Amino acid sequence: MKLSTFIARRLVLSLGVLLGLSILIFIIARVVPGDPVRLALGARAPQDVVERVSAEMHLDKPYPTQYFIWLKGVVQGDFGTSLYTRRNVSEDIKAFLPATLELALFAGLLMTFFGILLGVLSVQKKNSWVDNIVRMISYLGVVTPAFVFAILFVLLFGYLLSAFPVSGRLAEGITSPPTITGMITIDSLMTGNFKAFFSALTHLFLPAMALSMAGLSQQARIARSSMSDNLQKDYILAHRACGLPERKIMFKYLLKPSLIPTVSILGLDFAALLSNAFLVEMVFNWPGISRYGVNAILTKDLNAVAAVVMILGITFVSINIVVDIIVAYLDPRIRMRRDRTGA
Amino acid sequence: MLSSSNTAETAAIKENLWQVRKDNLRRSWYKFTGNRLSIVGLIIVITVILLALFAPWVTPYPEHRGAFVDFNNAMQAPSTENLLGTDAVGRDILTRIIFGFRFSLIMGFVVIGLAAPPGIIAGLVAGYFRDTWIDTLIMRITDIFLAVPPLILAMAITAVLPPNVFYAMLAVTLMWWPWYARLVYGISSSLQNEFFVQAAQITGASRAYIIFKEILPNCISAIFTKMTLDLGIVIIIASSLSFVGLGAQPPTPDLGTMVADGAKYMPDQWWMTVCPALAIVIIVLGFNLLGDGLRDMLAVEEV
Repeated sequence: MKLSTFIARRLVLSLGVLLGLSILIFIIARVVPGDPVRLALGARAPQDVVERVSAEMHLDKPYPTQYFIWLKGVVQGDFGTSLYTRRNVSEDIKAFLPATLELALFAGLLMTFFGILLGVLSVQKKNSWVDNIVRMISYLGVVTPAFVFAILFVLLFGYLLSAFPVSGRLAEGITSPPTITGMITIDSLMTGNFKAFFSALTHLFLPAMALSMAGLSQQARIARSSMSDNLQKDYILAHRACGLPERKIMFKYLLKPSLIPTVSILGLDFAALLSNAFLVEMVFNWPGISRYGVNAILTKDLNAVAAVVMILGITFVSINIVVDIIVAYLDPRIRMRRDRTGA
Repeated sequence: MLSSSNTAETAAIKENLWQVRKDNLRRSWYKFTGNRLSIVGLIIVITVILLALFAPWVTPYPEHRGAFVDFNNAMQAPSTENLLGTDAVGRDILTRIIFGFRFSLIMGFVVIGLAAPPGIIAGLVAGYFRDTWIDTLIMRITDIFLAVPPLILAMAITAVLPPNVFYAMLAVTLMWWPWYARLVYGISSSLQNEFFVQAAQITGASRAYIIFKEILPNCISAIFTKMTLDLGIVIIIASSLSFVGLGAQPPTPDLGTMVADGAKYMPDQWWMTVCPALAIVIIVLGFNLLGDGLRDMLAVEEV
């Protein structure tokens, strides 16, 4: 299969998945609750108000019609109005999503960098104390929920060592840079406001670290095992026999093919980052999509809930497409195999 | 004459079979104990289960499990009387952690027990009808479920339901079956061309017989290993839901809720949040180590 055919196939499959996801979310948010307006306005709201709001939001039409109206909006980036605050959901999400994306992306960088670094260290010094520590970290990373890391980091680095701020995105007294992307670190860099940049970076570090721990340990584990597998292969022996320096073998010939498994689970790791962001944001008082989402869930604001889940689903599916294409590029064997399991 | 020698033969075969099974078991145990961490996992899991089962008898203050208030002893640091300290209303944290184990374990066992069977059946059926529309339909539906992070989907489901333990379980169950479907599908679809399946088809075995008697037994060790590993993950997800406030509601002693409540009193009353947090880590660690041990013992590669 050519790479372009592979990409086209992958895109069509993902579109199908997204369409199915939209039906699933529609069923959860509209069909299951019966009367979302009544649920949001409460039992004491007068009947005529409920009926008026229902009519305004087309909730009095049959389900298939409702679904197509909703889907048409989603495709155009319009998630309707909140049942609770009557504000535009898309506007709200535009305000909150960048903070979460900034956190998740930074955590993703930390995860990939430190994960692979630990994996390399561990293979270089196999069965030494370095290796044992890395293995212990990677074990603890898998079994510890993100919010536990967040709390331990707050206590340890925030309060005990006072090394990092534990709440918010910027220190008091520093004015936020003008919103371009909504990610303060990038916005402040673009406007040359280095004071804001460093403040934002220190605020970002602890939550991103707490968020990245699970993926980091998994990356380290996989990098370690795939590198030690490849270390046994004949081509490494051949390089050694030719007298290539160990460092060159390590980084030029061993690392590259060993990265394929770590890249291919990046998609899953990003999914974990996005959902764990909900927990970490709670601990660090991070004004991202989680507070908005949890609030929407608690107030039964189903339009907002549907929007948050749909946006995260779209983000996740797009990341997976990118990851699959990278992997297919790195490893032609993947392209040859018929894609059985889809995502 | 003939029948008596037959029964003697059968008895001998049975005896022999029993001996073989015993040998296999011993060999498996030897493999399992080869890694000390597996034993640590087994010990943790057994201890936690025993503690949870006998919680009313082993905890120092069993009455503290529910809505108990003793403001005179509130926020006490760990001491000989309260080994892990007391919480904001004076309840013994150790007691509540042990009762919290109960909820975590129930959650884990119920969710996996409910989610695995439909997932397994879906995977078996899709694998048996590989490359037909049944395969496509089932596996594409699982793709949709797997397209959203599990925690988010569970949260969305709890949004339309009242927040409590039962609905939290239901929500996690609804998004957990696709993982089993995919695991079993992977194994069963690769078995379609094996001779023993073809032989059964030729001798006229029914589809149900082939699926459940020929293919399913080959998936059992992978399923069993995944179940053990998943128990830990489900406990993490359940405690995360509770941590956000969408799972167990007070005064139910739940580890996630306890961490969230205690976090309000950081850093001075650190034990209120750190102790239940570490309790979650220990229980999940136990299931994970045990699962890894099983994986090595049963030589499962797919999970």
